[in-house]
This record gives sequence, structure tokens and C-alpha cells, in this order.
Amino acid sequence: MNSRHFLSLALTLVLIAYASVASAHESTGITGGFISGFLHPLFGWDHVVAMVAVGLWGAFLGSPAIWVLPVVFPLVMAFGGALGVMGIPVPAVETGIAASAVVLGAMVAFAVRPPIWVAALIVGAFAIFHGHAHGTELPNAANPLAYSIGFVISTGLLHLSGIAFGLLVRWPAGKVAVQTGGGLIALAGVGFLTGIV
Amino acid sequence: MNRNRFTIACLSLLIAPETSLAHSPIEGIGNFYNGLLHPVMVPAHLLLLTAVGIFLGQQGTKIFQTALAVFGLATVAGLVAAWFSAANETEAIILLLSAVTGLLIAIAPKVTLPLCAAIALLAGFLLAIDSAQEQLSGKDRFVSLFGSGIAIYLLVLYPMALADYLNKKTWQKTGIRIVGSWIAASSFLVLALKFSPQA
Repeated sequence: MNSRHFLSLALTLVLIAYASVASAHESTGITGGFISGFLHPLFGWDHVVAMVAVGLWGAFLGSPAIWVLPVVFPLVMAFGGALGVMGIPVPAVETGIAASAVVLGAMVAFAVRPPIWVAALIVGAFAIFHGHAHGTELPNAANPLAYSIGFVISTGLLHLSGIAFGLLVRWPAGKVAVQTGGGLIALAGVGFLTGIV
Repeated sequence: MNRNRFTIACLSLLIAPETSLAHSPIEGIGNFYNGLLHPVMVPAHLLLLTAVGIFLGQQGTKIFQTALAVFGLATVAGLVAAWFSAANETEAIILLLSAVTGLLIAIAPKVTLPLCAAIALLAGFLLAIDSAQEQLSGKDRFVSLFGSGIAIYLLVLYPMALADYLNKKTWQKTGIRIVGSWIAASSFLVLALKFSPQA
């Protein structure tokens, strides 16, 4: 192979190596970060049921819990997320997330009505585990701020789903439905804890 | 053969690099529109604008009228400063201010006019001074900053008007407080990432 051919071949290889994928609907940067953050809580059933349970319990307890719990949760979740981002380990994160479904579901199922600060404390304690799980993914995100906005909004919308369902508690049949929902969430939590689900 | 290898290495290095800009412009739309879209394209700016808008709207007409005037003046001062020199490393302060403002929205305490004015002043100035696009200078930079100034002012008005309109019924006030907690949480997380050893 003469030097001219070698140069042409090598140049072709270099150009091929630097070629990037052409996507019709690109989702990198801000968009990619937001979407991956938004989907993160939705793709884990343990997250989904626990977040719905927070809203459900808030609606079940009525005012001021209906807004205190969904406000406390993201704020404490951010603290848990910061621990994850800083690489500070929190023991048994997955167990904590599964336990949150069991405890919060049971609170609704058995119509437990503790003082508001106790409810906020319980919800806040579990928020650390959920936040830590999301936070560990943050440094790898395409756009960390868009990722964090995505997962916080997604978490909040799951709370709202729980609140919307929980508002049925005003009617006798609705109260039964809400408590049954709580029971199902607790059972799902047991499934997550034992590894059946 | 060694000469060929050297040529290939040089070509590889020439192809690989791309321009590194803190706030990348969109090519082909002109400086004015690039400036106009700047606050929308930088998530930290959009977050602070939303936070400040909601916060001011939450306080009622009497307070937000004065605070809005302060915000406008601070934005103009920031734009003038940005015309002469671009600010560096302001994102952390912007996120910190977003977190504090989000927390104030969530807690919804009795807020005095001086505190509102101080937040409006800081937000307007920081957002404006951080809007300079490094690669522009002279008239081009002025046009771009002019666009950013318009967008900054408009983008604070929308959430403010919405928060003021929705500040009547209990569930609406609750919704605003929840959004405040989301803003605080998002800002706090990215601030943590900025100071993280993994960053």
C-alpha cells in the first residue's frame, strides 16, 4: 500500500469514527434531561405507589395535611437527593422505599389520624430514601437542572393523583374505596419488600 | 510513514473540537431572537423568573407594583453591566436565590416590601448580567441584551399575573405553595451537585 492510499484509507476511517447518529426527534440536553428526570419516578412501581399514598393520606387527613405533606415531601426529598449527589451513602435505600409504601398505605387503610407534625415527620423520613435514589442519578443526567425539575414535577403530579383519588373520602362509599386503595398500596409494598413484585 | 501518521493525528484533532460556550446561541435566527430566547433556553434563569414571578404575585397588588418597578430598574442596570463585561459563575447564586424564593413561596410567611424589593433587585440584576453572550461584542451584544431584557421582564410578568389571579381560593393558594416547594427542591438539588465532589 503506497502512502497516498494509506492516507485516504486512514482519513476515511477518521471521518467514520467521528460520525454521529442523526435522530429525527433528538432528546439530549435540556429536553433529554427533563424527560429522563420526569420518567425516573414513573418507571419504578415502588416510587409510584408510595407517592400516590402521600397524596392519598394528605387528602384523607384533610386540611392542612392536604398541602403540608405535598410541600414537605419534595423539600425533604431534595435533602435526600443532595446526599445522593454528594455520594453520602444512606443505608437500605430500596428497603426504605418499599417500606414507605407499606407504612403510608397502612396509614390510609387503617384510617390513622396522627397530629400533623407526626404525619409530616413520617412522610419526610421516607422522602429521604426516595430523594437519595433520584439524586444518585443526577450527576449522570444530560442536564442536571432539567432532570431535577422533571423528577420533582413528576413526583408532585403523582401526589396530585393521590389527592384527587383521596378527595372521594367525602362520600361513605368513597371512604371505603380510598381505604381499600391504601390497603392495596400496603400489600404492594409488602410485595416489594419480599421481592414477590 | 511517520509523516502520514502525523498528518492523520493532526486531522483527527482538527475535526474533533467544537466551540465551548456557556450559553450556546441558536444559529441563523439573529442576535435579537437569540437574546429573546436566552432566558427560556437557560433552565436556571427560567426557574428564577418563575419563582420571582410567583412570589411577587403571591404578595398582592400593593407590594408587587413597587417590587416590579425595582425589578425593571435592576434588569436595566444588569444589562448595562453585561454590555461591558460578562459575569462568570453566577449560576450558583441564581440557584440559591431560586431556592430561597421557592421556600418563601412554600412557607408563605408575612413578607414586607423591603424583602420583596430586595429579591426583585437581586433577581433582575443577576439574570440580566448573566445574559451576555461571550462571543458577541459592540452593537451585536447590545441587540442580544435588548432581546434578553424584554424576555426577562415578560417572563416574570406571566407567572406573577397567574399567581395573583390564583391567589383567592384555598386550593389555588395550596397549588402555588406546592409549586414553590418544587422550585426550591430542584434548585437545592442542582446547588448540591455544583458543590459535589462528583461534579
